[in-house]
Amino acid sequence: MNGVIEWIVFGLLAGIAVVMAASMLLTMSMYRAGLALMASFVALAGIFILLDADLPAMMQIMMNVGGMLIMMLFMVMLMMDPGGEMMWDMKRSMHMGGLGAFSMTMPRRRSPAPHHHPAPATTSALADGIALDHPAIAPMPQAMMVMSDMPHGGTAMSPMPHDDMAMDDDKMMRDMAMSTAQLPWALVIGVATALALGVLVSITPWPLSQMTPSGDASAIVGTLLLGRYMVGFEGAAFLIVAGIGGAVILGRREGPAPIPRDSPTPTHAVGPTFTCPMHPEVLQDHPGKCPTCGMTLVPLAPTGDEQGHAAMPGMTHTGWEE
Amino acid sequence: MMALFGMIGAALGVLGSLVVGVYALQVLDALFTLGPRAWRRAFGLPLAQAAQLVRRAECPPPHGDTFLYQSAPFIAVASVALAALVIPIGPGLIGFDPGVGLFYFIVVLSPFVIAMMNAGWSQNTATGVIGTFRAAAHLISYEVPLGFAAIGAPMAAQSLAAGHIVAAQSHLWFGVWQPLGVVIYLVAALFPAFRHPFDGASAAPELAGGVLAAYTGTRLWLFRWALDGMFLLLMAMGVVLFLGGWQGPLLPPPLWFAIKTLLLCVLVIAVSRRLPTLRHDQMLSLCWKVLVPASLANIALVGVLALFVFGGAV
Repeated sequence: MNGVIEWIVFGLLAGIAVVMAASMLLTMSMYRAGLALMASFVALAGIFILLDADLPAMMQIMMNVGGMLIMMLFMVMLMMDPGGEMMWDMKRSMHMGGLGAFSMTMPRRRSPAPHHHPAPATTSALADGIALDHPAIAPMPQAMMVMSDMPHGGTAMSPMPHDDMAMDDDKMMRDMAMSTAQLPWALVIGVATALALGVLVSITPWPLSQMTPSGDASAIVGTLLLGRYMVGFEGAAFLIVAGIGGAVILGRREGPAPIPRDSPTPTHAVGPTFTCPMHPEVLQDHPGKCPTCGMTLVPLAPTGDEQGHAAMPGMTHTGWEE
Repeated sequence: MMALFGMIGAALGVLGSLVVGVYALQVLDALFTLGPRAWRRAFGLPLAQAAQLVRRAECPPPHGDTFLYQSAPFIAVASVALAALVIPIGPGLIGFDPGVGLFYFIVVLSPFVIAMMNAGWSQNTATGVIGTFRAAAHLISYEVPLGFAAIGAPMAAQSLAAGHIVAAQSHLWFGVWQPLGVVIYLVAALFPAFRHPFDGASAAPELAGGVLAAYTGTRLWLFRWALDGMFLLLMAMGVVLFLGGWQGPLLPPPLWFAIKTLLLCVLVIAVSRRLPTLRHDQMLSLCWKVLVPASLANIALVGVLALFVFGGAV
């Protein structure tokens, strides 16, 4: 009777561990992936308890829940879209004062306008740590293009032309949250790895299997872990570190390109650079007074205020220039 | 069969005392808020709030993560119930007595913080996500000082089992000769309970409720209940670790345990209500620059005292 219950519990825990590991691979949301990994580890801790090894089980939960949590936190902070496509509107509104470290941007989806503006760096909006996909500023070029083109009637008058489209595929995005585009490949790799691991485990002569159960199983497990299988665990740890590094590199590649701040704008190099605040037809190449009204001339190009304009690249292309 | 009945009875006993204890704590909170003259209202307030919240309609966030949103309060309540299992309220009166009781207790605090994080994340709002970050900062802050401060008691008792720790304090409470450990434990215990000076994750003024902003109705009540329960359990574990547990003259052991726990709650609430809310960076520096070094010093001190003054076996 006891044996049957143990087998049932073992099957349940093993099933949870495998299913959660698979869903960690298959989910698109990094947050959910972290949670699934945690659940898988907790199920493994249950198997430790079945082996009468309470202490390793507790350490398993503590280390992995704490460790996974910190990993998840860093993923959330480093990645463009840690919630999968599901959480994209949350990320867009995540700019609050005083939390520069948590301020993020994400690639804005393409506007449905047929003539997409070539230049405005709406996706490369991260400069000086200020994320600039605030809806009031960044989509302005797109909004103006759409207004001039009128691709889909009345909705184009809304300040955010892609809102209706966002609502349309919001549901689709949420459905996608449990699968990725690489699903077939992930399945093939996962099944192959599982088969290889199964073969490896079944042909390995485990010294634990020949031992009689004793009260001090935790000591035996600990000795074996630290003695015989240390190399394997070190290798696994190295792989995990490599994986984190790869994720960070991939995340950086998808991220916004830094805006070249040194390149001078053409207005700096040639032509008149000073103008009157009241009479824009007055142009000079040196500071002085306005001949019409006597006011002090101001720089035409934003030389003194360069930082503010570099932080708002969307404002340098207002759409009025053409 | 008898074993099964015993298990069910123990579980019901643990849950029953948890419910009673949380009600007592909520009455205490209401007394502090309303003042002692309104003690009649203070006794009714928790029940009235529960009735009002349970009758209110649920209002899930429209574009959130539905699964995480709906499951988070239950994860919180489950982790509170699991943590309550290992607290002895009398000799032999314990739900479940593993050899690693204290370690188990500290481990099952983490799912509670995870539940808070899930609650914030699942709302799909900026305030919720910032609450999630703060909750995660709580986890990486409190775990080390809380564990290091609590470890003084098992070092002296030479056991992680809660019953043994209480039994080892029959002559002298550990809190008497580990005052630094008591202070660090009580400060660190406010973190996982998200109590007042460290309630940034669910801050009402700046985050509109933070991780709990999207909750109403039964789920909000469950969350609040779990938060109060977590605070009560941490105080109860403080009594077990440092204040001699159920031991005391004349009165029956469970009564002594309840009196000590509620007195500790009163002390901590009274002190913490006079402090301002800490910003998350202040909270992190408090933990890593003050509490962690102090708890390491406490471990060294307790080790020396336990070896040379109290002769190993207290």
